[in-house]
Amino acid sequence: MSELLFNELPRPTFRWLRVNHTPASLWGEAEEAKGVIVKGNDAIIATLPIGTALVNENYKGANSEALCQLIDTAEAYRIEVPAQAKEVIGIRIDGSARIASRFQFIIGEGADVEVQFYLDGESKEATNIQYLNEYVVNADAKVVVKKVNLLGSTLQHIEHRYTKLEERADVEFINVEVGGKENFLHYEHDLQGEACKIVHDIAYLGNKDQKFDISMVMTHRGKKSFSDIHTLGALSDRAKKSFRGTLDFLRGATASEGAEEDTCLLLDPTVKSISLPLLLCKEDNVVGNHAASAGQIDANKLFYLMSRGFSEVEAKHMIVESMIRPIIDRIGDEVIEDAALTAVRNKI
Amino acid sequence: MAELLQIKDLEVSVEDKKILKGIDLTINKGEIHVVMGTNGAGKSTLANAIMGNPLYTVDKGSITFDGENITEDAVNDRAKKGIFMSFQNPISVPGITVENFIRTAKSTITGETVRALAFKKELKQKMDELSFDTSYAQRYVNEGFSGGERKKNEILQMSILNPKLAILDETDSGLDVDAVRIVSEGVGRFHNEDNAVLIITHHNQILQKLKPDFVHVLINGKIVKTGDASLVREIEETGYDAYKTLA
Amino acid sequence: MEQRKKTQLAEMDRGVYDIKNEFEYSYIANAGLTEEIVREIWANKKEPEWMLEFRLKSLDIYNRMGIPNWIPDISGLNMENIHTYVKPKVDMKEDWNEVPEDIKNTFDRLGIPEAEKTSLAGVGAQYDSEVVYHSIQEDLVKQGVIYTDIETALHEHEDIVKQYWMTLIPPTDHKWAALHGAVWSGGSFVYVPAGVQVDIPLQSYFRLNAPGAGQFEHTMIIVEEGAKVHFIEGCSAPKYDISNLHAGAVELFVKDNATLRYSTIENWSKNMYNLNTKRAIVGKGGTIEWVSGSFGSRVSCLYPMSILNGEGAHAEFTGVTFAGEGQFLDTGCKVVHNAPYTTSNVNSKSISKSGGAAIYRGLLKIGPNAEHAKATVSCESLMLDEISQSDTIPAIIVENDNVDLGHEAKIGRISDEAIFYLMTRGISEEEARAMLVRGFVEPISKELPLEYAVEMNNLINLELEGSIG
Repeated sequence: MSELLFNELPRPTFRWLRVNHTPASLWGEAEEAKGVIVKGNDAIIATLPIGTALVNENYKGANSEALCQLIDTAEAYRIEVPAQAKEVIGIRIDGSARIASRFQFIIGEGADVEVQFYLDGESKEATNIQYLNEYVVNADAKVVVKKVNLLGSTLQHIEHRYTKLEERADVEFINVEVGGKENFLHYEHDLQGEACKIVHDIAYLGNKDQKFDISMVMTHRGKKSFSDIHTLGALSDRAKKSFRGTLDFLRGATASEGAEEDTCLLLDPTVKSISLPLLLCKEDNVVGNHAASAGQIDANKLFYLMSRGFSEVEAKHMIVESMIRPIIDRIGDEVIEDAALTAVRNKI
Repeated sequence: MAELLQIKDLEVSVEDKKILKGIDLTINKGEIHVVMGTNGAGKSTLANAIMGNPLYTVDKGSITFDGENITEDAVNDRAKKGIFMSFQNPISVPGITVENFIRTAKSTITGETVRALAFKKELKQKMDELSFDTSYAQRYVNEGFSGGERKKNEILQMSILNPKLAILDETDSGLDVDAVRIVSEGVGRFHNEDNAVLIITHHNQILQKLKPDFVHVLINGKIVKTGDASLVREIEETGYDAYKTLA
Repeated sequence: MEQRKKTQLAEMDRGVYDIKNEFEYSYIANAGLTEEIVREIWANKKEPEWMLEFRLKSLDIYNRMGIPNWIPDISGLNMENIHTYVKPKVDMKEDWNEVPEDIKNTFDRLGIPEAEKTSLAGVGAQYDSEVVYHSIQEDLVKQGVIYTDIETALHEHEDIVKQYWMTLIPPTDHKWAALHGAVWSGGSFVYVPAGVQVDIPLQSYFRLNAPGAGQFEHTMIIVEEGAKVHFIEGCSAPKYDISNLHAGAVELFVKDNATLRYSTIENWSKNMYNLNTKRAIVGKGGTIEWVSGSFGSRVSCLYPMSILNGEGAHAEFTGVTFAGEGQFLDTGCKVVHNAPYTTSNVNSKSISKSGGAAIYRGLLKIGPNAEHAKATVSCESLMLDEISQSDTIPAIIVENDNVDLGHEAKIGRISDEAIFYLMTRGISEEEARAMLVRGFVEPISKELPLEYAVEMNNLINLELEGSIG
């Protein structure tokens, strides 16, 4: 495949800025894709026929061509959680070879589900790790998805995620993104039901020539729907982050609330941070807020720590770690938390 | 004494929850009334219902002011008729200066043009009386004001708009001793034989400077006891427990 | 407070803005855009040879360039119907009494020369494609300040004009910059020599009277080192049934330690396509301040840009946009930090009602050289009903680590709580709403000269009358 345009901005802006999308080609495409490990209650895990239509056919993913190809070729799972059930599903993605995979989660009414994605490993040759995860979260169901990306530096990592929330669905997404050379993360969350709620927090840490290209769209359709996006991270060396976040309030989404916040700590003069926090609104009875900030480590904080005897480098490490730590702590699995924390410490 | 406010069998609910369960209250000109009671008893609801806050639904009963039934009146019409409420948590109004705000309100209520110079003079005098930094006249209403400054601003508005009935909703809460003194002195200056004051509080600090004619104990949406100023001391000593059984 | 009144006037009376004069002219270019028309404009204006070359080159660029994919729908605009040049039946005057009666009355009604007597250092008035009146205080002339129409400047100060001409906004910038380069006419020229402080503002007023005309005025302001000036522009046009186009260009050169404040109240009629470009380049320690009110036009694309090229340069943008029925106002601002210790503050407010769309589109770019840059952006949008639209589309690009940047945006409506508070003080619901809207834009109106602040309040009242009361 030639060059593709990833993570297109839902409403383009000035072309000369070259921020409306990110061009890239897929890595190691000729290679055969390996499978993933899905752990959990076998009774609810089934194969999904290759080529099964998307939950929302309008979902374009990080790139529509790449997504179509994935649907037509990737091994796929359908995980259907019955109403009122409580389940934990673990998905392990091993980055030692190319991965192409798909997961469709149908969460029954009132169910309570936790999904853990753990990605690590490194391939010899550059290749891509690509997967689609879709969630249909029915009324009153609760879903938590915790993802830890500790992939090696030879990998291009592409995640497509689509979520549909029905009445009072309650969704919490946590991402800890540390690994991968080039990361394209595309999240589209459809707040259809009345009083549904979603929180999506992403912590990232980039160094060397790492790229984090994040796109998130929250579409508020249901009345009293609630969304909150929080991305925070740090960049060093020549690392680059693009955040395209959109809160879209459609007419009829009365009394809805949405917020997005993008905080980026810049640790070297050669980093690059792009932020496009869009707020689109066709409904007057809503509260929409966004904030973005970028800057260096607060000099007062640094001074305080150094006055307690820490060196500048140690103090900086502590500050970066303390920023990301609260998100890592929410993973709730000690082994994974430790692995993530070690990866963070190794990088800063 | 001339009757100013008469509330009959008033039932009020908020978001379908019944808060006031049949209130009868009469306030005559020249009187100071105090409503005391526990948290959540319905004290602020009573204030808001008299003022006409649309979030509070009157299910039953009537409110008569100066001989007129105002139960269905819009809030601004009640203000024009002479009811004033000092808010428990006055909101800020960005972009509108204190001076401009009060002047607009004054000319709307009186229906007459308020002359700029005379108004400035009156504003400065009233602000001085309240030990209110006169530079605040040019600041936006309550924007960046401390809790005490917001309450002073309420009392300032009251003294200039000169209502017939002033309802003070927890005006003393969250204030330090000096601020309570200044505010209650302000109320004292305002009060005369032709107007009336309804104080809603669960403290008694504000009552050290103001002598109430009637004290009402509000528990669980009902006035369970009415007495004179001595009731304040009684409550201070024994608390509300004794009255809860009456509700 | 649930049942809000939503009576609407289909055609709002915009008072003096809508009074049109009989359409008279001494020369009018044919509608449409051809090389012949461009040559005719050039010949008619007796310009130097290089300008013809420039115009033709721009036309060529215009013909080859596409329309950007992100702008609002402008299909209602047909260049075939636009007269790119309408010369009024009068030459420029320096004595107000010599200006023809009907044109004079138009500006009188808009309060233009009246303001001059009291509070302005100089006044320019443009009617259709040409400036009909210009004046400047004697003592400023003595200090070397030049304030004249751009045509006169092109003849009398050709070297300066040529040196700067469309260097900030090259015709290659976008399609309407190219169009401007091809058919421009009218506009103001200001030159403030080093160290000269012009304490009272200069003002230009642009009035488009001819139906189906385009207005392509070019404003060039050069503020030399340590100098200071405040320039005000006002724009209006009566409503006709056919579309008008405004594609002006404003090029501002702010040298080291110089200060320029550029204030605009734009109230084009609601059939105007306002595709205007404004740009400032600021040297070391210099300051550009934009104050911008956008009320009129059917479609607007306007994003004044500040390029902070010298160390310690500063940009300030204060803008308000009010989109009513049938309007699609895509406005905002761009700030590019290109040097160390540069600072910028952006404060934008927008209001949309009766189906209007107000879009904030912005750019904040901090380049690799802009160490110790500080920037803040604040965008607030107010929606007055549920049929309107309000979008915020900011782009924030940071290319070095030593920066301090904050961006905030909020969207919402007037809170019922605030209305209630005002109503408890006797103020009616309608007046409470109007007060809160005025309060919302107050940070902008207080930056405007008094008569413009009054004009802005009148415009807001006119707009609000349509939906409230």
